Amino acid sequence: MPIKTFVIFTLLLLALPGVTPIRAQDVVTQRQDLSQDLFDLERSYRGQLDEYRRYEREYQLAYEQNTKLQTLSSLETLVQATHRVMTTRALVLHTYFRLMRITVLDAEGINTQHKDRLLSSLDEAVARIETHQQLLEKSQNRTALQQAAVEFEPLHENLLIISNYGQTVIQVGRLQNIYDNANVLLSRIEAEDASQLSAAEVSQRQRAINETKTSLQGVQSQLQQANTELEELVQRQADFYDLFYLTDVYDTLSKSIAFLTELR
Amino acid sequence: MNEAQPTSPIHTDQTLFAAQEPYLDSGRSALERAEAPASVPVYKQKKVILAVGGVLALLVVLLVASALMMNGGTSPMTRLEPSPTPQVQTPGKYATELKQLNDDLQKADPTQKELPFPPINPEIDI
Repeated sequence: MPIKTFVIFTLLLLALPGVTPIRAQDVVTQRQDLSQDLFDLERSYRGQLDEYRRYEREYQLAYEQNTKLQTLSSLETLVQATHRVMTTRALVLHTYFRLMRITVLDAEGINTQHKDRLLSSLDEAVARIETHQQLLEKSQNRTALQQAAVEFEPLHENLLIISNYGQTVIQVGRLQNIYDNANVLLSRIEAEDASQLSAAEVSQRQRAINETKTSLQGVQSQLQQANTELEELVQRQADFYDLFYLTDVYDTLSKSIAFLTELR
Repeated sequence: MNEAQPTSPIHTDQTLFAAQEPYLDSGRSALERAEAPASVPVYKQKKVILAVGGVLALLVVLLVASALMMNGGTSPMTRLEPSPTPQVQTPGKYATELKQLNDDLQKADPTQKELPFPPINPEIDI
């Protein structure tokens, strides 16, 4: 019994130090995996888009040929070309929304409320595209493909809205993240020891810091406004999220970072 | 009756005469001289060698000059001049952070869409 206890105790002692590093490693690995997923998806997306363009040209040629010839053979070629291009189109959209989902997960600075809502919308978009893909798998004749084309119209409109919302949320998030990092950097610069400077230099430095602070406060106010208006658009179920004032936020932020560069 | 014939032959043929006529003391006929290859005098050979040598020297000088011109058009004397001392730029304490901020700022430009909607044709029909 004491030997068993000793063995268990020893094993526990040997195992415990390994726990913390493994956890830290896991976090790093997860982060790396996300970047790798993003890279892989971007590459797949580009490849699928190229393939789609090629199939679309083939479809257009087949369509023109069938309009001219009106034969069974040309119709068969058109059915096959249509099926191929519609399937690839669905695949491109599926990859695009998965790519956006990972981008949102990977991005920093996105408002939690918008992030959750957007992720939910993206999941919904992916699910609807998968349903459309299943429909296309069964559509092997002209009538079925016509039906799939009709069903794609509202889906396309809905996907456009989600994409637009996603792009806006990502942009606001990116600006917010830069603002946060700029604020942290300003605090660090301000906390620096300035005892070796002369009184005039200290005064000049303080004025520069205050000016940068004011500029960054302007960014904060603009970002709050952007988030509020974005929320209003969501509540109104708007079909277009054009936050034109994001350019103003960007300009003020650029000015603040230029000030920070001078301050260092 | 028989008059004494002159000892020297009478040359009626002018071409033969020219060939048979002794020239100085060499004992060679003019025809033989005409057929023999012309030999270059020694002082002329020296002149030719000097001329060829001069042309070669000129070519070498030209090559060196062109090589110097291609080397930035600066003479060796110019290159020996001390270059101005570069202004020492000490990297800022927060250079990395500021670079990161500027990189992020470029990516966040709202006029450039990061993930635009795919350029698909929504009107594909049959």
